[in-house]
Order: sequence, then C-alpha cells, then structure tokens
Amino acid sequence: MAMDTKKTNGWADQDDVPEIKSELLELNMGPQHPATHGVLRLLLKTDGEIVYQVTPVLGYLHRCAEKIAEGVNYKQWVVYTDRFDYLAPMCCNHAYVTAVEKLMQQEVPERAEHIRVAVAELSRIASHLIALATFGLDMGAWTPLLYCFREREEILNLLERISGGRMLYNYMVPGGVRYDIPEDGWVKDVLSFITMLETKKIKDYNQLLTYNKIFIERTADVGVISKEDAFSYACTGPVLRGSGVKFDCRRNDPYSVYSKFDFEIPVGLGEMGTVGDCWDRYMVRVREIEQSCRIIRQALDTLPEGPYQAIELHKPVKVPAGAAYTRTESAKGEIGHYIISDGGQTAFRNKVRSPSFCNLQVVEKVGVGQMVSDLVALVGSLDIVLGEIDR
Amino acid sequence: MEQKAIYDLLAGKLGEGAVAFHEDGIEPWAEIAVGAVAEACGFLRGEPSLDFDQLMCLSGIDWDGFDEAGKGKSVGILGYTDEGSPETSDRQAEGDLGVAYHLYSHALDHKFTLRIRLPRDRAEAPTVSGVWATASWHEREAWDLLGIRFTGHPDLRRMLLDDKWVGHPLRKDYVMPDRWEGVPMDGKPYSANPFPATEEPPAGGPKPDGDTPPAEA
Amino acid sequence: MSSDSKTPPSGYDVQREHMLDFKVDQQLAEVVESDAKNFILTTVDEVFNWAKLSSIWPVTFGLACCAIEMMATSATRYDMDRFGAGAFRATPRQADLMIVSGTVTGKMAQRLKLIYDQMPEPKWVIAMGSCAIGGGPYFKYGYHVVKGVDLLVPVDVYVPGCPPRPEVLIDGLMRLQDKIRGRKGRFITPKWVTDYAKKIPYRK
Repeated sequence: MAMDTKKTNGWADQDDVPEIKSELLELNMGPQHPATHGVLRLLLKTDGEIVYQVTPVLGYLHRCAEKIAEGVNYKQWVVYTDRFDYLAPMCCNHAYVTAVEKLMQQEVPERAEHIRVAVAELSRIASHLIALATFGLDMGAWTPLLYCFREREEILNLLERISGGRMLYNYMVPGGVRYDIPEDGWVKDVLSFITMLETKKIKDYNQLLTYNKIFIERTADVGVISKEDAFSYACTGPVLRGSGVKFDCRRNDPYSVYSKFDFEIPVGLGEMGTVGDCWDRYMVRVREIEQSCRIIRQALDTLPEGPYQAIELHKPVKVPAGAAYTRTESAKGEIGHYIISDGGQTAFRNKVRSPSFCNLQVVEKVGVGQMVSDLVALVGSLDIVLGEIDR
Repeated sequence: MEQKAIYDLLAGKLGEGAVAFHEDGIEPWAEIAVGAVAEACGFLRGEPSLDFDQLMCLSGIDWDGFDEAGKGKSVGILGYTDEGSPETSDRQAEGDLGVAYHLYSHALDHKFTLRIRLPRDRAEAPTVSGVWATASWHEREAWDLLGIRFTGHPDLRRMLLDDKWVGHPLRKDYVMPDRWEGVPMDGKPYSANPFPATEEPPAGGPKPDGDTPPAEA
Repeated sequence: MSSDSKTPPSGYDVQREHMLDFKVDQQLAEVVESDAKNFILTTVDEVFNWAKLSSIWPVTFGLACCAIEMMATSATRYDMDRFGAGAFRATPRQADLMIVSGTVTGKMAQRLKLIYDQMPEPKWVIAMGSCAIGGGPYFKYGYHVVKGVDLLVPVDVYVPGCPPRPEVLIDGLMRLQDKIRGRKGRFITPKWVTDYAKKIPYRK
C-alpha cells in the first residue's frame, strides 16, 4: 500500500520548493528477532521512524495444546499447562487444577493450598525477574540481566528441591500437590531467601535500572495505555494495574486461600510521567515482587499440618458433566480455563484464555504513531510470553 | 446483580431472541438465538445497570459427538499413530457448533455467560468486535481453529495457522496432515537403535574421560 | 623448547638459560630471538579446527521453553562464555552454530530453513530438548509440530531433556567441540556416576 504524504518541511509558503513525497515502508520485525521475546512477528508499516500500522502475526509457536486436551486425560494435561507460561509454570499449574477442582467440587487440604500458594508466588517472582531482566535488555542495559538471573537461579533451586524439576515442574495435581515439603529445612531457606530479596536485592535493581536516567527517558510517557483501552482490550495483570486500575483476581475474585492473606495491590501512579506508561508497568512488577514475598511469608508461617493430597496419585480423575470458566491470576494476568466435561476422564473442550494473548492485542492501537524504538519498549513492558499466546 | 435478574432484563429486551436460562450446574448460562447475539451484547455493554466492560473469554466449541448423558462416552479425536502416520476414520461429523461468551463488569463486579448454537452447515454468527475490541482476536482464533465465520468482522483471517492451511483443527473429525507446503508434519518411526554399541576401549589404553571418582570431600 | 642442541648459535648466553625457567618475560624474549630452536609440528587442519572450536558463535534463536534455559546457560551461574560460545549473534550471517531450542512448528519450519541457509559454512546445529529431537510431548496430537528438526536440517548433536538443564547443554557443546576437533565422540557413563545413582533414595 503506497500512501503519499505531503511534507513541506516548514517551507509551505514558498512555491518553488518541490513537494517531498514519501512512501510507507513495510518492515518485518521477527520471528527471529532479539527484542520480540520469542517468535513474535510484527508487521510494521512505517513512515521513516514513525509507525503507521502494527499487525502482530502469531502462531509460530502454536503447539496444539487445546487439541491435545481433548485427547489426554486431566492429569496428563497438567504437563502441557507447564509449557504455556514457561516463565511461571506453577501459576499455570495452579490455574488449571483450580479449574478442574471447581468442576469436580473437590475439597483440597489446607496444607496443599498453602504449599501451592507459596510455590506459585515463588514462580511469580521468577517470572517478574525475567521481565525486569529482558525489559532492561531491550532498553540497552545488559547488567541487570546478570543480577536478575542470579536470583532466579536461587528460586529454581528451591523449586527443584520441592518438585524435582528445574524449570517445568508438573507439581500440582487435581486434589493436592505431588510431593510434600522436603524435611531438609526448605521452609527456612525460602524465608531467608525472600528476606534477602526484600532487604537487599530489590534495592540493587532499583539502583541499577529503575531510577536510571536513561531508562526513565526511554520508558516514561511512552506507550501510554488508557483505562478505557485496557478494559476494551481485556488487559489484565500488571498491564491493567499499570493503567491505574486496582484489580487483582487474588483479591477481587479470590481462589485458593488468598483471601486469608494480607497484601496490597500495587498500581501505576504516574510517578515519572503519565499513568499507564511503560515505566508504570515496570514499577508495578517491582512492587509485586515485594508483595509476593509478603504472601509467601504468611503462607509458610501459618503452614498447617495434615495431608497434602485429597485424591490418591495413581487414581484417575473423573470430572462430572458440566462446564465452567475459572480464572486465576498468573504472573502475566488473568489466566482462564473454560472446561466442558462430558463426565469422563478427558475434557471435551478446554479453551484457555491466556493473558498475554489479550494484552498483546493492545499494540495494534497503542503502537500507532510511536517510534520503532518505542514500540520495542511497549512490547517489552507488556511482558508477553509466546508459549501462552500461541498455545 | 444476580445472573437470573440479568437474564430477565436481557429477555425483556430481546423477546424471542432469548431462548432459555440454565440455572442448574456450577455455572449458570443463558442460551440465545444466533441472530440476537450482537444486539444482546450491545445491550449488556451499554445498559448502565449492567455495564459489562470486559469480555473475559470467547470460546468456540464443536459439539460433534458430545455425550449428553454425562457418561464420558463422547467421540474420540484422531491423532498420529505410533509410527507417525495420520489416523483416519469413516465417521461423518454431525452436531452443532457453538460459541460461549464470558462477560465481567469491573464497575459492578458481576459475571454473565452467553451461549449460542450454530448449525454445522451454516456456521455463521454476527461479530461482537465492535462492542469489545478484544473480541476481534478471539473471533479470528475461533474461525481459524473451528471454522466459525463471524459476519461483519473487519479482518477475518486465520490467527494462529498459516493462511494456506487446510481445515480447522479443533473440529472433532479433523484428520492430521502428513505434509504441508513441503514441510513434513508426520512423524518417523524409531526404526533402529539410535545408540549403536561402541567398541570397548582397549585394555591398558587410555581410560575415557571422567572415569576416576572425585576426591572425597 | 628444545634445549639439548649441542652447539648453541652465536650470541647465546649460557648463563641466561638458568634464568629462563623463572623469568617469563625473558623466556618470551628467547622465543622471539632464537627462532631456529622453536617450532611446533602440526597440520593446518588441526590449527583451523582448534580455532573453530574455541570460538563458536551461536545465533540468537530462541523458540520456546528451552530458550530460557539457553539464556540461563549464557547468564550468570553457568556462563557459556567459558567455552568460547558466549557471543550470541542476532544475525545468522555472523554465526556458525544454531541451537534449535524448542518446538519447531510448521509455520516456523520454513523460517528455520531460511536462517540455516543464511549461515556461512562451516556451521553446526544442536537440537536442544525433546521437541527438537522428535516432537516430544506433542507427537501424538501435534498437527502443527514438526516431529524432529532433523527432518529439516542436518543435526550434529542431540541434547535430550524437557528442557535440558544448562549442564547438559554445556556437555552437548563439549561433544560438538570434540566433533569439530575430529575426535570420535564417545560418552560412557563413568562408573562412579552409576554407583552414585544407585544410592539416591527415590521418592515413592
């Protein structure tokens, strides 16, 4: 599409200056591109540096998970939920088993719920650390990545000790968790880790990146998502909260035992620019790390004794006929499972509403009129993960 | 607001378009006629006492072979065999398609579920992407994976699969492809032992790396 | 250095020879001064291979979950740079190793082939993770998943795992270095490892 735009460069009143004609440039960003967080492809139409149109092209990681859900049974499909949001797999596990248990109307032991909350919040911290690291990387800061990965390795070690897997866990099952807490001082180690994170490490990140002058210049007042856009595009998670909306499924639509815990919902305040800009979304994540630490401490301090599984592991899970949509708060936003059961051991249909899928759509509107380099900041601040966009 | 009260308001607006309200089960849902869905969604979004400002989820469903008795005897889907070739079947697909809408109101904190059923040979529904912008991608995905055509959609292309892809994979009678655009999609059987036996290292020769145990700490 | 020559060339200071073992800078000076006594026998191939294996540059090509482990391998704790393979290039034209880290889908397959074709010779491919090896958990119902990247491009080293730990990827890299060096790749599990594995109490 060739669109001619008239440019006069301020000489409009002089007749002898020829009219400068320019054509729109079609630019392909991705699927192999270091700033697209995976295999996202953005089809840009630009006028020089200014973006005229953004069209995300998805599906380069479409792994047929919803089809597989109709072929394997409920317990086997927990494995595939790990691979949606592979940065926070425990949150995805939690979302799925919550949805299955809602259909089964299954009571879960209190101890299992506390363990679930603790590991899901650890996973959320790990995901937010990657978000900070890669966002810094997109903005040209390499060093925060090394620091964030250092703490992430600690979290992976802790989760490996409880679940046996380093990155993808398959830890939760309908009715409980797979293993109990190991008796080698795991709880103590987690508590000392989050104390270190709260007191020292977050200050490190703030010094390195958050209040860095260059970083603020690159992110403040860039990619502003208004409240109305966020609602209309069904943005959730830190993207919605960055736009100043105090909404969190853990508080507003409580599941598991989150209603027992005391924590705050950080929102974007527009400290460096407008409410809803990239810096606000970034800052919401930093503050959520602190809140997650609080939740973990409460969950482990009040850890009850008792069983950790309601259904024996080797028994197949049968779900009575029915359909329900269940939503939970993952690290990226609201992850929902719409499960239709026919009464058997396999779901008839399992639609996954993934937060990144809905959050990414907003670039079609907000990305227009920005510089290409600011588009990188926008996509980085949305913190997408392609595994759950394409599923 | 209670879901029943919301349905009563909606039925008053739609008249014939509202078919039924199912209260049994975990999640109550309203069934409405296909033609009335755009009007219903516009009403639910615009009416100040309802104010559904977020479309949480839009799901396409293929009801082919669904076991209504709830015994878990629904039809199975086709996959690849252990040798990697696609499975086939003679069964003719029947049954309707469907779409489910899950709505939420941030301002008033209530939820609502709508469902429609579409005949298989004429799977068309009006789009709601003018009401909620997020519906645009969900509808494209439903078209891509289930073949439900949304009339009035501004840009109804395939979402996840390529434009040249044949068929709609989430239909229950979908046969897996063996080749697509020159890319092999079928698997390969494990024909031989991938790790052939290596000859033993000669006696007295150099030992392979790492054969000495680490020193005890 | 060969120090057993009978007749030292002119200008050779015998007393200095004593000091050579201790003073590094003088040792270097000796190497430069008396080129008649210093030579290395090798083949051109060996030198070239040594150069190739010591600076493998991978292309930044993250596909799925395994890409995060690939990032972790190059990040703080594991530091792939120790093996000369830490310089991830964003363009395939500057790279000679492609780590296929993740599931290859039908839509991505053509792009993957394109990226492989753009890489200059010599080039190597590591198939990382069970999806890249043979489809992994997506074999049965994966209508959009290519069942193994070796159906598209030749693969040098397979690294199993879902996802493989960073240690395993580093091991795969060392096997690739063996291959470049021209040695026969051989991996025999050491006896102390199997003995140790028997002692691990598995959970029931």
